[in-house]
Amino acid sequence: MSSRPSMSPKFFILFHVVFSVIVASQGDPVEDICNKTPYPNLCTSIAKEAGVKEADAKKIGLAVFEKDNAKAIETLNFIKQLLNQKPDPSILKPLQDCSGSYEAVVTEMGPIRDGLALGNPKFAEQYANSCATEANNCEGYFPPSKSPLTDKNKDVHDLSAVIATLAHLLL
Amino acid sequence: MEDPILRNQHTHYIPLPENDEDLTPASVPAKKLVKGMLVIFSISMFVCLLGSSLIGGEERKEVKDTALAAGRSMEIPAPAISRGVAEGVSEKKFNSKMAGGSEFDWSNEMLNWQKTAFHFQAQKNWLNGPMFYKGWYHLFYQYNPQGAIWGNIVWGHAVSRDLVNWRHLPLAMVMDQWYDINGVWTGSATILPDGQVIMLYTGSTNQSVQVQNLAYPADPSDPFLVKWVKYSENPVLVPPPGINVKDFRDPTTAWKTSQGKWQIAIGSKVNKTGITLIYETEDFKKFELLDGVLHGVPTTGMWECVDFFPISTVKDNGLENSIVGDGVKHYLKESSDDTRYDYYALGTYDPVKGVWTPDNTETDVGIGMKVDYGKFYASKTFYDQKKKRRVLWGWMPEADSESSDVKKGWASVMAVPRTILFDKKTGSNVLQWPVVEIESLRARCTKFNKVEIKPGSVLPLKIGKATQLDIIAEFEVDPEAFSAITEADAEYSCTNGGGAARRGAVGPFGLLVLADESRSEQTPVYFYVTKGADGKLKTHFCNDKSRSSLAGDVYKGIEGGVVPVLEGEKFFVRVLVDHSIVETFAQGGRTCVTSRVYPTRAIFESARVFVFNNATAAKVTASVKIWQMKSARFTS
Repeated sequence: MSSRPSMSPKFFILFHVVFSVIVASQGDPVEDICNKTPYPNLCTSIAKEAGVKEADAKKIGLAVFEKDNAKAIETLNFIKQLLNQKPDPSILKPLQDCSGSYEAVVTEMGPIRDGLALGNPKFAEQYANSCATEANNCEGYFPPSKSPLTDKNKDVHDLSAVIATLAHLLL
Repeated sequence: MEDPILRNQHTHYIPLPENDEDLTPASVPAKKLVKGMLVIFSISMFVCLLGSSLIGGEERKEVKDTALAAGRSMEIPAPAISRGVAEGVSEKKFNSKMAGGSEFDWSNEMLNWQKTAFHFQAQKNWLNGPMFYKGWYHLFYQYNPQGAIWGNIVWGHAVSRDLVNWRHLPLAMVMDQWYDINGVWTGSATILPDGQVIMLYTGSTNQSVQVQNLAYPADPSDPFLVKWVKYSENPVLVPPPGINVKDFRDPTTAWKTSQGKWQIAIGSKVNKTGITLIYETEDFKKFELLDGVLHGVPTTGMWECVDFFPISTVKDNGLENSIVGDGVKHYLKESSDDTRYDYYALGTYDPVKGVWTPDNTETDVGIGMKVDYGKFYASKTFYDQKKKRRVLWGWMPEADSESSDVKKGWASVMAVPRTILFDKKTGSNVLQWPVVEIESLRARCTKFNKVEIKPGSVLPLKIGKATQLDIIAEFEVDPEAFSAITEADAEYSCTNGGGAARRGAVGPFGLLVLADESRSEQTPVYFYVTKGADGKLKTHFCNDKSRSSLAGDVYKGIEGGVVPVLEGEKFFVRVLVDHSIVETFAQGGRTCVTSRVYPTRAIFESARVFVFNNATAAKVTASVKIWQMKSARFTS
């Protein structure tokens, strides 16, 4: 009886590990998508937290949307809270203008989600871009370093910008 | 609580997964790590390969549609008794097609189904001052908060970022002055070059005299324009000599003259001649009536809700109200108090003489084209500065019985806003098309490609739910069929044409919407081609409500009009179905017909869609795309 060369288990494992490592290091599918956005790390960490493992711009977009939506509502509520607390005159009007901006942002969240979920990404892109702009506008209303909203504005801007790119990929 | 991901985006912080079942290096003991990692890598590799094979180069797949529940709250108090007769624009007239109206036994389920999902709705409404201001679209509408009793007409108010999803705001104005105590009626907004908002509106005084009043926002920096102030010296205009005190209403948006003054138009009548008066002003407080009229047409009666604006014959965008000059025509429209239809015509405006002349006197305002051939009234446009387009709003009354309206607790809706453009191909009409934003509600799409429909057949289109739809359908007819058309149908019109049951050589063919399986109820939307005495082909586009409902107390007329179909064009139609509304657009919006439909059986899961061809000669091939439509959001 001729002896058939057979793969020993150890060889098989080694081969698999090497092969897998090679494949894995050639590109995480989520990173591939997120690298196309202006904030890849933000995009990737949200996607991973949401358990997205495929190069699925829609799923990633919806995960980022949840963060953006939550942050937008949080920011609007925060602005209203600040307005209730008799703010310093130098930031009163900027806060009022930001209140308007964030009313718009919060309102546009619905169409963003619909755009992604229903397969009409052009609307998701359009409104996400609009939200990014409103967040920047809000920050710009304040005199330099007087904004109490800098972190929040940056979050909403960056998240919206990521969504806009992801939506664009779905066109 | 701060979200760790956002704060640490630059430090590769990966938070612990919420799902206990996830395997991560941190949660697996070191000894098993290697084997664990192997499992992870091979699984993820498999998933990647699978994932990439699904994504690469595929066509957009249908998306599972989301819940279509019409779940929004309307704060409408239940009216107790039927409404009284209204005044001015508001009177509801039934015509003879109510079929003697023996009251149908409407169940709550049937009535609840009628509520629309993506149309703007409030209890009673006509259109006032739609506009775009500081990033928001505004809609003001006449509203009766007390429901049943006529009177107390106030201005409702809502805002939107996209003309589709709306936020309800507090009432903008109530009837609290002697000059509007009997009604805060239709008005128009003018946005001045410096951004100021001027609202002119008709008030019905304590003696029921129609006057024009000025109002403006209390706080122009509030993008929602919640609070309004009425000018202390109202009214700014009262009926001039020779004009009846009840024939003077609905001022238009103002336009600026080359002399830097403002002009507005107000509809009226002299005997049976409908007319449009022009007033000039510099401050919207003092006005001067110009001699003569902008235009008038005998026999047309009172012109309500006049609309007058420039339209480009060369560009594909809308024009701001003051534009005149080359490449510009002017659209003049009136709502006919007598017939309850909106009529328009295109013509040339001479700003120096202050007159408008129709391109074609045979189809002059009031005797020619209708803005919409169905239940569509008091329409009004505004210029949308954000998207540089002219947007048309139309009001759709109910076509059922007053007692049904009382029972269901609401009445009347707004049409989906439409962009309005000059039809460069025909040169003689406008094109209306639902604003592109409505497409954001499109969910699952089903396509039917080149379905052959033999003469005399009906084919079901299996799409699942059929009460909230956006349909685009194209029909090809074999060319030989046209020679079979005789002149017997030369006098055909939708109204007198006998509906979808009347067979011709080339027509009727089209769609059946809000039909049940057995088609005991159905609403045909169809084309019917005739030949005139001059040998020229004419295409009619109709909505047939004669079998739309088993109930006897709803309007069941057949409405529609002629639609130009040019050489080389297929017959094509878009239909929006939203419960008790069917909005139809033929040949890209050359002819529009809107219907109110109240089925008793073709509701909820029982509603279906069919294509049909009831012609005797024509072989018809249909290609249809149908989207399920998600409900719009209406919040407070």
